[in-house]
Amino acid sequence: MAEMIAEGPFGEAVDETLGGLRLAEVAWRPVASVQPFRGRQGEVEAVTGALPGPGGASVAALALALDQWLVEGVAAELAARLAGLAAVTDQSDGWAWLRLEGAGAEAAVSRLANFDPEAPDCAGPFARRTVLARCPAVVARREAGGALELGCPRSYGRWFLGAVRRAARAEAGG
Amino acid sequence: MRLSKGGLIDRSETFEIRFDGRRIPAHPGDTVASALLAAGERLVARSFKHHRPRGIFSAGAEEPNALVGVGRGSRHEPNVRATVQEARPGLRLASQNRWPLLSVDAGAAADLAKPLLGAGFYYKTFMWPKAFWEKVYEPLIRNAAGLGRLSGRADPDPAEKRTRDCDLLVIGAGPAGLMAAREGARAGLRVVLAEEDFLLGGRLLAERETVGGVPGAEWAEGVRAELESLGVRVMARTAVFGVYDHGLYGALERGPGGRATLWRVHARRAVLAAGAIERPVAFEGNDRPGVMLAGAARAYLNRWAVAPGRKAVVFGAGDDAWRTAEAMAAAGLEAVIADARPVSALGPAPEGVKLFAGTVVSGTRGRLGLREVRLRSDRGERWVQADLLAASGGWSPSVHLSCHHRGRPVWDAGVGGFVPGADLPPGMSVAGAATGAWSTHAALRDGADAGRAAAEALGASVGAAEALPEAEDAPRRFAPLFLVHGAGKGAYVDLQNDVTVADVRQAEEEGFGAVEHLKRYTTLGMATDQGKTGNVLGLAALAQATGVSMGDAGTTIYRPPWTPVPISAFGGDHRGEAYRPALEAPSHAWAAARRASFVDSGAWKRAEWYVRGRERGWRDSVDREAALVREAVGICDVSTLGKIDVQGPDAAAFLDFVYANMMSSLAVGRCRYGLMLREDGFVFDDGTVARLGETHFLVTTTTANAGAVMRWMEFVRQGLRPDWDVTLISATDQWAQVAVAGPRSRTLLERVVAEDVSDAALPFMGWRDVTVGGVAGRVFRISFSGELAYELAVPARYGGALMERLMAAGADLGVAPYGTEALGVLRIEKGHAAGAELDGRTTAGDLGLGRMLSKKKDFLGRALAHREGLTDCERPALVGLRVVGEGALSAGAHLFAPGAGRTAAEDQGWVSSVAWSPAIGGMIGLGFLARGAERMGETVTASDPVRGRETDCEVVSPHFVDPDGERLRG
Repeated sequence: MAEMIAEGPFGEAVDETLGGLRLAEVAWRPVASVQPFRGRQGEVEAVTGALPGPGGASVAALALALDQWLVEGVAAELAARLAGLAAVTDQSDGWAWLRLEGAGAEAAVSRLANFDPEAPDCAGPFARRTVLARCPAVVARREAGGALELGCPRSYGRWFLGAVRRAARAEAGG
Repeated sequence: MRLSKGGLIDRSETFEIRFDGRRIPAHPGDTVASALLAAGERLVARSFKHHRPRGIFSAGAEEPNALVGVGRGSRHEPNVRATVQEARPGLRLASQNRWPLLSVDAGAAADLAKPLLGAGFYYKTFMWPKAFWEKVYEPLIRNAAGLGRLSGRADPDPAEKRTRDCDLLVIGAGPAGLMAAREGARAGLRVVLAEEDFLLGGRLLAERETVGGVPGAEWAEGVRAELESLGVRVMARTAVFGVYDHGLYGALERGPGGRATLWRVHARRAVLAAGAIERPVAFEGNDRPGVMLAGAARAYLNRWAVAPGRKAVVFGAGDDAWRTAEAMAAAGLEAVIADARPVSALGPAPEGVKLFAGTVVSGTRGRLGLREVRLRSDRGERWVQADLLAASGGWSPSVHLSCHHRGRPVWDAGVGGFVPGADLPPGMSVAGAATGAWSTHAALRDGADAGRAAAEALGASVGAAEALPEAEDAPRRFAPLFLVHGAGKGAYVDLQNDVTVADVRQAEEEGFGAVEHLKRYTTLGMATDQGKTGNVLGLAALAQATGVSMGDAGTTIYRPPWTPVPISAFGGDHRGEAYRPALEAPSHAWAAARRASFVDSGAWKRAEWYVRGRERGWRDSVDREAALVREAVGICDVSTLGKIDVQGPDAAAFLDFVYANMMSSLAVGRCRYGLMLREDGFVFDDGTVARLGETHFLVTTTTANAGAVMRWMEFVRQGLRPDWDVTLISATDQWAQVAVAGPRSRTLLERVVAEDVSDAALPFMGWRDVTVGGVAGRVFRISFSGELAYELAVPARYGGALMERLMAAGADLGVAPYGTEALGVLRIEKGHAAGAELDGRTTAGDLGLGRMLSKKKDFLGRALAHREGLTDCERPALVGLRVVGEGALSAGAHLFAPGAGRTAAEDQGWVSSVAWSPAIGGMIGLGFLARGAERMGETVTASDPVRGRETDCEVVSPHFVDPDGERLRG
């Protein structure tokens, strides 16, 4: 019987240097969306730890919308711990993530985005639901001074990689 | 002619550009216009309508005449203003709107026909015969008039689009803009300074005055250095062209090589410091090559060290004419001043310059370039030789961007021009010459004040004001000069549109004397320059014709763009393969490796069929795949169907409200087909709903409607029923879902999943958790094909592996993949509706699903689904169509009774889907036929006039295969 071998979302392994920029795939890890039911956020945070405010990010969670977070963790385990408190949905395979770092990373993203990643509110941790190169996307920074993470729905993966790569190359002067 | 010294050009480097094939020397710092003038090129263009010879008229963005084509082949760009285009090595330029040559233009015959081409001529001249308009007159006019032509080929250097955020956007880098940016930056604001020119300094670059004790250009460079040290983003070559909502500004940046970047600048505040534009004067023959704005002549002398002529008449009624004459004299060139003011109002003439007081220019001569100028005064008329006529009628503040939110400028007699009104775009202030502050000192002060005010408005800490740099602050002496008495058919107010004083008068006489009417009737202020030099002059002509003041005549307002923006810049790189994203299913790579042909399905690339062996056409593959599913087992990636995870205490009530049929009664572990209506009662979408838990559902949508359904459900959740505690999130991309269909599908499934999937354990319309090779997944027993079928879901990263595993496990069962075409054949054979049937015009009743509309609950669309027009028994209803004989059937064909006329009154319905059915052995279709359910066995004719097909069909049940559903329950 054929083995169940996982495939990455980009159709290729991504880890490359473009001028002063490094573009790499974020390795698969379990994540789930967590949407607390009405009035239960406090109880949810007692389980997950503090969740970032709107537009915010932490090492373990990105705020994607009002009352909606993308949280690191196995969905089934989170669902069990948050039963009756929040809707938990496995998103581990739903998103494809790239990491872009180095001088000019923000400028490269500004070539694709409808917001300015160089603005002060993007200097620290942040998460922004947006559109990058016509893909629904998330741009996030989990720690001040850290790399940018660029996420898109998995089905956009190859197209998204092409767009980000072109922008990074343009910024790097290639 | 190039002067021997001076100018802001780099004489250490010389390169060539080409104009109509001629070699033109240029230096870094030159524009195309300055290089052409330096080379003695006076004739550079033909006018839009009259094909009049035209030269370089201005020195900036306002240029109405000198439009040229830049570049060759696919890089060709038409209608580029020579006055803003930087010269660069190898640049190739071509004149426009002429044939065969610029100097010998057949189109110049239009100038002779000028009496026929007056205001609104196309509304009244070419009326008869009527049939001639479209085929003769219009092509003739379009051919004769015009600007440059597009290459028609894709530009190999696509534009970029970028976004920038700032506290303060300063538009224009003249003295006011530089000071505004500096004050804002010193207060700690994040400042963007945008300047259309490639140098900062604005008007300072064109004059010989000093600021802070140093030449103006040098002072501007010093400020630039300070701005950059303060973190200001200085964007030269960037024209802000539009002011949009919520502090969004559009800006076009041109790289040194010409490549465009479209910027979206989000600014909390903006200072408009766009300066002012000099006005021409309307006199007979004011359009010949060699006639130029006085300030432009000064700019060519001072900034580019170019003599725009050797012998000049400088005409005006104010300081600008005098300053130009002084600059000419200082460069060793001959100049006389014709000043309309009486001698008593004037001082002594500048040294070396002859003064004609109380004198106007009333005419010119020179076929392809100015040769003589006629001066008129109380003492009579005289012709003087001249190759340059520099005229100044005053200056108009650049109010354009202040109008983009419908702001209306107001006439200020003291300024002698229209100034921004109080109704500015939110967050915008105006400074410097754009408000009519004419002296350099006033501009510096105004800019500094605006920068500080912006900082205070944003809550920034503003320190004590510093002393302004020392600068010219002399009161302006001028009298606005618009029309010379006698100006008429040869006196142009709008050079780009060939609108004359006579045209304005004629428009007024014919009842188009309101400013908005005048604009449309004469085209005053239209085209690429948007009336930058001509609009106010045209309004002056109107005011004179109607006998009212300028203020009472009023003005039209300006809208984006301030400067021409190529459509390709708006498009950016959104073209070709990058035009829109291509979504790939989890097994895309697997399918591609197996000779799948892909089709666009919404934004997805889906496998439509797989070529096997020596199959020579798509029908071979599709027939094989469809038969395979009926006889053995096939697998098909259906991951593209939308999947929405619905959870919460009110999830069941929510779905009852969204779907027309009941969902709250669905048991955990079961699935149900659901029908969703729009509020107007028509069917919106269909799909299955699986109940995963008491408060947890998984909704499946059609591929094409996934996004729309998600948006609709979010609208309902947030807008219509915010009282319900329910959450929604897309899970479409999380899962790879594969249909396993055919009589051997259960056998295959049993081999790949660890759990019991027998009919007892997993009945029709049930689902359960399973593991596939150690990977957790789900299996749903649902069928689109009408066969025993399942949909097996695993996390998306295993999509390719799942297909491979199914293929390996089912080799002896004859398993093979099938694509969307076979899927279409199978569902048509079964009579399942899809996108072609759910086209927004059909009701549940039309689809034979009227009984699904619940009578026990409320649901969206319920009220309007029962309105008279939607329950009419005459409405076309879903039927099957079986071709009688050998004819071909077309989707989109309309249905008629045999022998009936092909008229709308006789139209009885249409064909929505067709297929060649291997199971039936012939062509079949689904369609909608009036009173369809009552007409089984009748013959109707499907008429497709597009393809010339008339096909007789038997009306049958839409369920061609297994009408009782025994196979799918097997």
